[in-house]
Amino acid sequence: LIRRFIPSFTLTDVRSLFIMSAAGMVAAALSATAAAMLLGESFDMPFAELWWARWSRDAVGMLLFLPLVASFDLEPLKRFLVRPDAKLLAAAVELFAAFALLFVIFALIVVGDWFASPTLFAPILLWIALRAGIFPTAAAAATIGVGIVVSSAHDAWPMLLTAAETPETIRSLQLRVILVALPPLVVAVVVGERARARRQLDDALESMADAFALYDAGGRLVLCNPRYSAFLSRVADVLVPGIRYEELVREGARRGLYPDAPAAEAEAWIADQVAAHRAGGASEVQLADGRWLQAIARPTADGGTVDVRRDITERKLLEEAIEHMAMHDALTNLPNRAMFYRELERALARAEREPCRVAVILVDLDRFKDVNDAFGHASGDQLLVAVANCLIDCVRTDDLVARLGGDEFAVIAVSKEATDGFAALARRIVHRLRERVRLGGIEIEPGASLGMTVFPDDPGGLDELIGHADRALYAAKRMGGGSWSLFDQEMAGGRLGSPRLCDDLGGALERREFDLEYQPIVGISSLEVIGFEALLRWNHPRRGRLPASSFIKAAERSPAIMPLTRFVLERALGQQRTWRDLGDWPVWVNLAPRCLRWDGLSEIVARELAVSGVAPSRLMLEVTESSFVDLERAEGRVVTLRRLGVGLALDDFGTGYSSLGRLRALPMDVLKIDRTFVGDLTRNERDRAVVRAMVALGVNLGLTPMAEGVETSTQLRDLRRCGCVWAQGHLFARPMPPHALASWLAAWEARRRLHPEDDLLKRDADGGRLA
Amino acid sequence: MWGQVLSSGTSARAVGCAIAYLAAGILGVAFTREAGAMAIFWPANALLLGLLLRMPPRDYPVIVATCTLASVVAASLGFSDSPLVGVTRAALNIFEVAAAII
Repeated sequence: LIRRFIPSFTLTDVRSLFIMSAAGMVAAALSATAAAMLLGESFDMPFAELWWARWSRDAVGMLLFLPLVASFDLEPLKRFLVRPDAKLLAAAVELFAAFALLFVIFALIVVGDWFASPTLFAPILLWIALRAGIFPTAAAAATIGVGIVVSSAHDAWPMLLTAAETPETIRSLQLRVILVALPPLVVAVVVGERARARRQLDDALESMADAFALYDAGGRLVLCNPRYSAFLSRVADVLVPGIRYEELVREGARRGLYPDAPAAEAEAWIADQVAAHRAGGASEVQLADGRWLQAIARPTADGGTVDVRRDITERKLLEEAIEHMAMHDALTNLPNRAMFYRELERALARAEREPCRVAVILVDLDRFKDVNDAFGHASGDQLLVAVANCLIDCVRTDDLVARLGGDEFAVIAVSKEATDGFAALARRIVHRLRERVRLGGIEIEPGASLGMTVFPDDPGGLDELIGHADRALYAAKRMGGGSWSLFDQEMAGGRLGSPRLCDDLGGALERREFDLEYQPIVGISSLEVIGFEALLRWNHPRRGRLPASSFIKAAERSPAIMPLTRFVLERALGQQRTWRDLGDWPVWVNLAPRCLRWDGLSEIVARELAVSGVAPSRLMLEVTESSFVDLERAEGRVVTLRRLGVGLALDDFGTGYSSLGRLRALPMDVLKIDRTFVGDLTRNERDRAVVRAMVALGVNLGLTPMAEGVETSTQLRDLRRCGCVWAQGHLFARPMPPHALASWLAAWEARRRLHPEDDLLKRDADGGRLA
Repeated sequence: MWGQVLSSGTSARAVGCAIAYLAAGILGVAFTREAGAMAIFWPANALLLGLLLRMPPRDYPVIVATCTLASVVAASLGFSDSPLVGVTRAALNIFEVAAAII
């Protein structure tokens, strides 16, 4: 019975005591029944009397001794002997005193003829039960029980001296013993149960990662764990059970625990805190030491409050980091586009409330791509950081500098002064960004163009203002870079357009908005036509006919670049086939730098050649120097193209940063000297020396040197003197539509035959042009 | 098997229980009033039950057998019963303990 219900046979709770006692009673009843049946004759007693006598003696034994054996525990004694401490010693002394009192009372009854009632022991037994635990209580109860029974058996117990021994008096004695022993045992078990529950609760609370406190209905602290004290370390000394939450908050505010607590209206703030605590809910509080707490107050059923506090500092820091990352550029740590928009919105809202102006300045680096291509992305990144620092130096503390992406930066400046101040700021930025920046072992002049618009002089909304600043930036770019431009309404209506052509590019091919023009390339000595360069034109529905230079960068950033390249190849090769009757000149086609990143470029070229039936040698592909200065793979693709048999020209030579070693490794046919060198050719000897060196370099590398942008006969003469072989430019012909090719060719050949070369140069010296 | 049952630990426990049971029995007998043949209280059964519950069940047979013998001795020491009555008393005591523990 006992094993089934109390497997560990320990007196851990009242239920165990009850089951143990009940099992003893039942077993005694069974045994008494058997005894009454078997031994009735031997004792010469009626069944019932024998049964009661037998059952009661066993039941008393069970009630007194079974709890004693069950709770037998020498562990505290061992602990005391091994490591005696003051607490255990005090408990031992107290227990000894209690037992001594029991013996004194017993002696007074037995020897001193005192009033003989077992209930005299009850207070001492209860004292032991409340203070010492189950085993001392069971031991004391058993001792008293045995003492009473022994003294009764030997006529020492006063009660039995006055009454004859009858079954009734014996039952009465047994009952009294049980009544004395059992209640203290129950009390001891209950106290032990509660103590154990409290220990378990304390263990749980102490092992909790969160701070925990329980307040009663009156707002008084009932209990809290050490972490709660640690959280409220500034008031830990007053954090004792019984203190009211209101006092705690007041003391905390007085000691600076809550940095948000207003000094002026402290009482109102405290009242709010107390009310919120009573009502329950979650809140987040930052402590004076910077830590963040999440406080969760929950009302209990009896009107109290459970207060749980959690250290969320780490989470808060993470959130702040994430928010920072979401709003800032990782490289420069400047606000990003999202934050720029948010701050601009705020600035505009402020400008509508207050008399102030908001300048939106967009900054675009003029040579970032070149730096990136020439020195690698690491240098490009360094440059962006340097530019960011430079911009921060230029603006006031209240202004905002943001990186919108790539080499685009933006500034929001708010001022109550006239626009002149913003103009000065723009000039300052342009000036500072003209200064050379040292990146590792190289010096770079970043150069930047600025577009600015000022609200409310420009009364647009947020997007409009940015669009206007963009137009102004574009205008500055068109001025050659290194300058700034303030938006005006002419820009809005003019043909400057927006650099945001990417959007318009989508579908432009399907709408047949592109076509090609052709510009001849001639031999400088013979003035014979060498070939024609195909030049892409975009008939933009709003902006008119645009040259490739105005949209090719946008196209490169868009998915349209691949179909556009295919279109150019297809058209140009088709045209080459058409003009075969006039002459089998090669057609020159420009490849955008991004094209050299495609794995399938050579396949596309081969397919277009096959479709058109044009011999590969009749196609000259122009690639800019910057296409492969930073792309090792691009070199491989150039080699693959070369294997197809097509000609290759290195375009814009001199504007990039290609090394001579790399130049030698490239399988090029033509070296196309950039127009900027040709433009300066006639100005001084130094520029001529540069062109001469470039020509010599090309010749030495087995390349045909060629000049572009030749506009005057003087340039042509100088180029010839420098040894340049081919030339291209307005001096010979502007780009022309395909249908004009035949007439131009006829005219050109006629002039070439009719006018000797010297005559041609002479004509130009007079100011005339050939075409 | 008996070697395992009568291991030194089991034997020691059985002897210890028997001594405790005998002492408790003598105590119970000693309290019996001259006029009656029944003790006022009987701690031996409670003691044996408690001890058995704290011991491994495999020791029960040996301990119970040893304590039965001790019970007979205790009964014969305190009461002038016939041997049959003494054995019956002892058997009833062990039955009580067994009824509670099973």
